[in-house]
Amino acid sequence: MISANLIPRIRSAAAQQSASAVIGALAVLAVTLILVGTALNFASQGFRTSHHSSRWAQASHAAEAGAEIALMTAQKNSWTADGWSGAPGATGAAAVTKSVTLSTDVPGTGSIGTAIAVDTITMGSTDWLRIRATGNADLSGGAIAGSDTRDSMLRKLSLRKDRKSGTVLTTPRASRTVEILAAPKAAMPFKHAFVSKAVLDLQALTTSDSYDSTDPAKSDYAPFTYYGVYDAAKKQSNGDIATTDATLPWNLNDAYISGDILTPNGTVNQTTNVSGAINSGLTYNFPDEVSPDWTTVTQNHGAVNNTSAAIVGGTEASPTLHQFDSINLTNANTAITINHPAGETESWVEIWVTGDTYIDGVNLTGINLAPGVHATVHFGGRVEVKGGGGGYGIKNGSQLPSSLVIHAYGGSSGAPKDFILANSDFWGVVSAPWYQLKFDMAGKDAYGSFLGWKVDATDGTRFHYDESLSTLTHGEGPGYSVRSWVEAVR
Amino acid sequence: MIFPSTHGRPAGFTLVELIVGMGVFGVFSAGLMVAWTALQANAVNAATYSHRQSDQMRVIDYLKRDIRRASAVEIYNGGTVVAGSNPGTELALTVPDYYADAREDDNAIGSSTPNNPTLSATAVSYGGTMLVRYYVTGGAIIREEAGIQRPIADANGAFVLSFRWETDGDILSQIFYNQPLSGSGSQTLRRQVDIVGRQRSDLQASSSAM
Repeated sequence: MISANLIPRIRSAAAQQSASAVIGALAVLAVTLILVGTALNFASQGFRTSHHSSRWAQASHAAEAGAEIALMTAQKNSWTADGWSGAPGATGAAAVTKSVTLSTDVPGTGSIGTAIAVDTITMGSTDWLRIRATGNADLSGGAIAGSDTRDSMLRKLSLRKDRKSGTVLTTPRASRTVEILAAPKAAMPFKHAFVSKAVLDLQALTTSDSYDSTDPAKSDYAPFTYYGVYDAAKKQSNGDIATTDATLPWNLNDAYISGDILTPNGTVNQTTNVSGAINSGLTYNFPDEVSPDWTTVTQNHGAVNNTSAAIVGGTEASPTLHQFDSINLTNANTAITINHPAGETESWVEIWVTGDTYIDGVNLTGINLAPGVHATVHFGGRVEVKGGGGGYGIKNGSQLPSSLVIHAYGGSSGAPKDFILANSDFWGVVSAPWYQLKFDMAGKDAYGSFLGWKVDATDGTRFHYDESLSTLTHGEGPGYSVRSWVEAVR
Repeated sequence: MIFPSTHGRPAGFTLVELIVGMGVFGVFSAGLMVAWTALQANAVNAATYSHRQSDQMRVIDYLKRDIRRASAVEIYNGGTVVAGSNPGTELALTVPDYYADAREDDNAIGSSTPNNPTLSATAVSYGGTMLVRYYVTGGAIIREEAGIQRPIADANGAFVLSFRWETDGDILSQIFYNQPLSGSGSQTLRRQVDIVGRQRSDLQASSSAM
């Protein structure tokens, strides 16, 4: 029989057990919450770090975009029309500015924009543009720094105030700044007999002087009537040679230079036979050479291997365009000849050789430009042209350097290519900023102006700079090219 | 079940009940202990993973930024410069000393006035240069700038760095961590990230002015 007070006791015990269960459940819940909270905290930190990193990278892209915007305006010289505060003034004038919002389209991430400032800075007697572009990418998740101070040191986020201006921010953001220096393009770079980036290597009996094919007093007009050829009796002393290499003193080997030696600050030894001055302080803008971007050609000749080809020029406004994969002419009497259309005495042609060019043959072998032909040639590969023995090499029939303008766009700073001229006279202009120009022309003459990564000349090579080339345009057109890039990391 | 005593009060639990109850409690407690330990280990490992990820991301961001602004790059292996596709364990970057004061570039406290650029022959210069090195010491990744060393990834991560030149002139950087997992015997937390970057020498080496 159950006693009278048993039921209340059972109820009391049951109530105590229920309380224990509640406490136990709460304890489990608390532990679970701690674990979940910890996990969420880690996840949140990880997300924040990842978010900061990605926005920091996007701020860099925005800064680059700002620099591009400034360059685009500079190329067009359309500052006011493009919404800038004005056009860049002289050196020392306040920078002109522009702000651009680049993106507002990604929900929850804020905007991305760039603030650009452009001023002028004079370097090497030329006015350059200094472009400072700051990219800003808004951060989501509040003004909370990363959990590691090293992240703050690296990314330097602006959380409550702009780090640089001190302006109070409504939205935290990542900012990065790049500074770009843009130089005016080398409009007329052929101002010297030759210019090299690395030190020159001229053997002792190399000579350099000058003449002017447009001046009867400085050249011989006969047998032509509208320009002159070199006349030793009228030679001038402007056969300047230059190198932009400033790293080492170098030897001129007592080469015979009727002109000046131009260097940035290097010491030049063995200059006994220099008629002019040894000038330091040279600054020089090598033109950029790039591959043509023809979409159509008059004729694609493919790879020419000891077969002849005949090319007919066009008009100055519409030259004929001829593309070659490569040129190899070593058999006698194999030549690429360039002539005028019937009835014409002057014509224009443009040639593009994407691969290597090798010419080494006697008896009318090589490339032959008829007098009156104006040729522009683009070389992408190695070039080796040997004349002699009746071979043309590259024969410029006009004997006027400006009639043969060569742009060699191959090579690079780490891997320059060879550009070799040997055994025969040469009239032309060569712009080959990443080529080693080797003149193996003992007893022969090179007329024109030559720009290369390095210039070597063997004994007896005679250079004659045509002073009229100082106004020959390179063809790059107006505008600016980027010459320096640096990130302001603080 | 509670039995009434001879005096009308419960006589308590029997020995069997106590033993059974203690056994159940023991099993339950043991289970809880195991679960708790596992949870703790997981929490520690989650934290470790989070830290290592952050470390790795920081190293990547540093490398990407510094390689891009470098005017010269060298890869070393055991103190010797390596070339070609041979791997190295240290990266040495020459970067412009852009700021006018003598502090290292990464020290953000103080003036941030840049140097004025100058032109010498073909090169633009902001004054001097600084050497930035990346290497591993005791499992930590060290970034050394102008002689000042800072760990940018913790030694716990047992980090390994590897660098090599790609054939096209890019620099391949591999950042690898290999941290033992907590409470998992010999298991390790491992992750490798490869990044490819290129110095801006294309601009700086050919920089020039008329």
